[in-house]
Amino acid sequence: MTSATQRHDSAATAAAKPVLDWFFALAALAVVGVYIRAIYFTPLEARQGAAQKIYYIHVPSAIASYCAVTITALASIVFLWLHDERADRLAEASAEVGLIFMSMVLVTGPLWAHNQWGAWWVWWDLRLTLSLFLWFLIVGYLVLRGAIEEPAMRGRYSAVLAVLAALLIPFIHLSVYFSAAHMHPDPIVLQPSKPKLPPEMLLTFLLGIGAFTWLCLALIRSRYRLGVLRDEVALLEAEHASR
Amino acid sequence: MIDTYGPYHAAYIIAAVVYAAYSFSVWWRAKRARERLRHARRDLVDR
Repeated sequence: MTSATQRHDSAATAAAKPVLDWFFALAALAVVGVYIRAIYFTPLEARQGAAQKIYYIHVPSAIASYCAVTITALASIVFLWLHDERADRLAEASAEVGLIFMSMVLVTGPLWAHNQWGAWWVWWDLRLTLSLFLWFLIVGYLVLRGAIEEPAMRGRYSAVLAVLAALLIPFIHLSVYFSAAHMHPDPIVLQPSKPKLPPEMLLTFLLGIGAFTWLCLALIRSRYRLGVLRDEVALLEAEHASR
Repeated sequence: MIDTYGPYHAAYIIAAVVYAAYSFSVWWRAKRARERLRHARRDLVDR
């Protein structure tokens, strides 16, 4: 059997699978569990009050978006190396999911900031500006993919952009150390010394990271399956047109 | 303690709605793709 036929058969098998399956359902339940724990079973912070609870969805969404962008970059490197269409499809899927999570970071962050800083956005803060820049890069990546019809060229150009976008992630995380003048707080848990959170809050936060990352991976899996379906449709329609 | 429930509720509701809407959009696009796939397979067999 040729590799093209094998690919066609594996794509047909993958197309038969449901896009939202048990893995997604369990991830959604885990996120619901984190919501319940954060709302009803996690104490209020004394100074900030209820707004501090935004932390349990804001930071986990940020970490999940970094995971998604990292997967996009790694899949892009694999595509540049092996020219495997599955890697390109995975890169596209994780970029789209990463955009959703990054958008939530950029929505929940200002809601919290306005309450604490008296401003929705502070342009000179490096972490905020770099996060927005990463969001624009992911949008640019997806727009670029939509603009190029030829699959190999689309995969190659977008892969280069994805790798460059992922290079921003360590800079975003470390940006609070680069400048003394910043509004965004320093890391509380993901830092060299001991976490500065009480145990109940720390547990909610860690569960949040687990649940949101799981949801992110489940959505990437689902979006990948949607990509398989679309490629299968495109293949059959091209075959139909050539007859 | 100051009342900061407004942004807290807004953030939780917006996040839940957006994640649910995106999940629905993936399911919906897959449903449409499956319909197109069925049509494309039928058209190929008819020929």
